[in-house]
Amino acid sequence: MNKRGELEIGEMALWFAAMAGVAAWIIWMTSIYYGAPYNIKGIESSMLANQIENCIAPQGFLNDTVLTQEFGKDFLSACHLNFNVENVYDWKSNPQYYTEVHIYKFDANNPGLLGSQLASVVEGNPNIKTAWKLNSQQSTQTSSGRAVNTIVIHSTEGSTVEGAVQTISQRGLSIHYMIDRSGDIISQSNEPQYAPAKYQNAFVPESENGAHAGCGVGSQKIQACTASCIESNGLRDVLKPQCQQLAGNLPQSQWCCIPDYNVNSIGIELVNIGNITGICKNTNEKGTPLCLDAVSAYGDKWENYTSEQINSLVNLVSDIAARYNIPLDRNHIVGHYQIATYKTDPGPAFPWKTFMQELQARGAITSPDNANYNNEMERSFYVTDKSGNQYIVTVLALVGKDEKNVAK
Amino acid sequence: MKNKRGSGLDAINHNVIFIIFLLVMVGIALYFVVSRLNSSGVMEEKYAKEIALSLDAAHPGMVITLNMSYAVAAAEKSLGEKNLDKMVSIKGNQVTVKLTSGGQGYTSSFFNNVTLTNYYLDKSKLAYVFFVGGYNE
Repeated sequence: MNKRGELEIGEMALWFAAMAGVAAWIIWMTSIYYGAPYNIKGIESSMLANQIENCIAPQGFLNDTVLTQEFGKDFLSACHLNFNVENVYDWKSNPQYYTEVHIYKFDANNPGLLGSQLASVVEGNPNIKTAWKLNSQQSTQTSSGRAVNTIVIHSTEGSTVEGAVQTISQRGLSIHYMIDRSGDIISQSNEPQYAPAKYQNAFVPESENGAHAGCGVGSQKIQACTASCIESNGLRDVLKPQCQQLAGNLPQSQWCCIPDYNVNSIGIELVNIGNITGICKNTNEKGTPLCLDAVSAYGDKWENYTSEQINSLVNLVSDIAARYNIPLDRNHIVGHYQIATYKTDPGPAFPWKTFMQELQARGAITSPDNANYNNEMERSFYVTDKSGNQYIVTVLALVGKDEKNVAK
Repeated sequence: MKNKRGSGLDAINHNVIFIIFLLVMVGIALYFVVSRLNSSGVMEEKYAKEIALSLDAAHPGMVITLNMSYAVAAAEKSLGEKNLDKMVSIKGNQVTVKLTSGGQGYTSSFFNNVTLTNYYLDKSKLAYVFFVGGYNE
């Protein structure tokens, strides 16, 4: 500004440009705000979950029909749902709703975990689930900040929980979970029921590293071979054929062990003797000779896993995978033998194929505190039927209708 | 050649012109904001989705009254008073709100499989009234 209070031309142009910039910014922001779709996906998802919840448990009791096969077949009609959508963005041929309902028996011995699954219904477009997950913040860390990306399955190679806990403790090892033949899940929280106080360092919480997947100490320390046992592409469970042989077939110089698995993994022990060839005539708790219910492999007999154990394992792995967003594949759900070739567990009796099929069918959506979705969209609740039987129901309800990222 | 008085007038003129330019600029921005706020397209989407949400939460026997005064004001200009009853239409589980004579309006679906026995515009309240009958079988 000059002495006469007159704006110089250059100064005026500068002010004018600044105001033009502000006006352009207002117009731009207004266009973005009003140009964006009026987003009701979240609230519609929670309303859908409400309707399903009211359908599953009207007036506070489990609907008598939900445990029947007909309910699953006729779910949409029974819950008064209509998943037809407007014919835009190719939505007509790609439904824009997705819902999963799972009903579990309530296990009073393990109230923090889900019991056996009694019924399950999945309806709609599963790609919406992926879209929601990708768009949501995912947690891969425990409360202590420990990142978890792998679950390692072991067997105790012993006949009882007490014996296994004692062995683990005396060797200075530790594990996160153990599953008995009855399907009972033992962890640090309920360990006192199963083991004397002096062995109670055998279990650690998920927030701490266990000592279950190391590379051995002393005479067991691995000489070499980690690199030679793994494919060059780095996939952890694609081991070369010599590494897939059982430990007894490999000379010690060829043992292979992938280090540092304790750091990012959760270990689960299954109570199982393993090789029972030498004790075939011994009887189990029911008085049945061990070898009557055994798997034959590598010229030996191996103790079978109980269905209760596998069911509990499916529930537990599914729950852990949901909480840490661990993919349900064999790169992330591994056997101890895949990390250390001098180990055989969980051994040839472990039903990998059916276990993985059940696990993948269940999905990693079992936990009420799963951070991938809002609690309004994914919820679990306790309910009884009129006879007093107890159940846990989990409901996931998601609406797609994303006008920016169309889920097909 | 400019005398002293002329210079003073120039200064006033410059500043006045500058202020007028600024007011025009701000006016354009405000006009744009207000026009977007009241645009039929935005209102069609908003009301279609709000009606869909209301029907998602509906139970048989409910009567839902939704204030649509802004939509009515917008529709009156384009559709005329006689056609106001046609601004909301529901077919199956899809609700369409159309506030202009041109265009197709905005359609939104609702998952709740309810039937509506009747719905109409209550002109005295500038609100739409929806009567929920039962569930589709």
